[in-house]
Amino acid sequence: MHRIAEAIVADVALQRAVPRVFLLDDHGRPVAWPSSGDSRLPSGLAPLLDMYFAQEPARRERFCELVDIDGAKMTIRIMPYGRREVRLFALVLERFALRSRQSGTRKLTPIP
Amino acid sequence: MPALYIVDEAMRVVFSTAPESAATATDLPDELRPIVGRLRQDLAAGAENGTIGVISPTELVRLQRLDGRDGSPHYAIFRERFATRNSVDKAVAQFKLSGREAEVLDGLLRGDATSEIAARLGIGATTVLEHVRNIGRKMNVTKRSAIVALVFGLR
Repeated sequence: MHRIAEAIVADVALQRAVPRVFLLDDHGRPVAWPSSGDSRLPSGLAPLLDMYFAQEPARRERFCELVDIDGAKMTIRIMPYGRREVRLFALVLERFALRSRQSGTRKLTPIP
Repeated sequence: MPALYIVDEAMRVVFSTAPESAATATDLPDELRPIVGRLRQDLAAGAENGTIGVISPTELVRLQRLDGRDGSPHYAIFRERFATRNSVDKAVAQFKLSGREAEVLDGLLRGDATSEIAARLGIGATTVLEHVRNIGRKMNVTKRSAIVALVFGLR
């Protein structure tokens, strides 16, 4: 049933890596981090995370931004989950490149 | 943004971006459990940068292993759609496909066999093959997988 879909998965996997995920507690401290690769939060993110977690808890909503960390362009997402008093935050990092298109517009392309 | 679940070793959901009704659940949705189990085996076998699999003809799952502060492993699970009806509509417009070719293409995207497409459309298998050849000719590709990849924007 899914054999053609399965056949293209290899292509998808080659073109798009799994975004790097960190799970943070209510103070912005990592609770879980990627097992492979660099397990530390990029140091360049520290000011942004400090600002985010310095906000009132009620104002820590979904956040998405394109950032340049140490020369690498990334999409950063912070997503809260849970009750107000016990919240966790997923920090999702995905590298991307700007790809020119024939129309002259530019498209964000995730890269491994 | 695809739905994201983070689960512990016992597959209990500790984080979710799924809709509110599902976000209060502590268990991973049933339809995700088999493929997540399989992908976990792949990770254990040495897939370093995460694994990826298909749960339906239009949905992917990506899995990444996380180390927990308490020493136990966690898993980040991304669930995302990778094709929609829009994909067919765009292909029809871009490659000037006929109505019947669009129906055959829809079957290809579902991963249906020639006989399955033929049965659903009430036409012969040979006719389906002819439509597939015509679709490929209009898209300038020869393989079914290339047709699918082209529609999904993968090539």
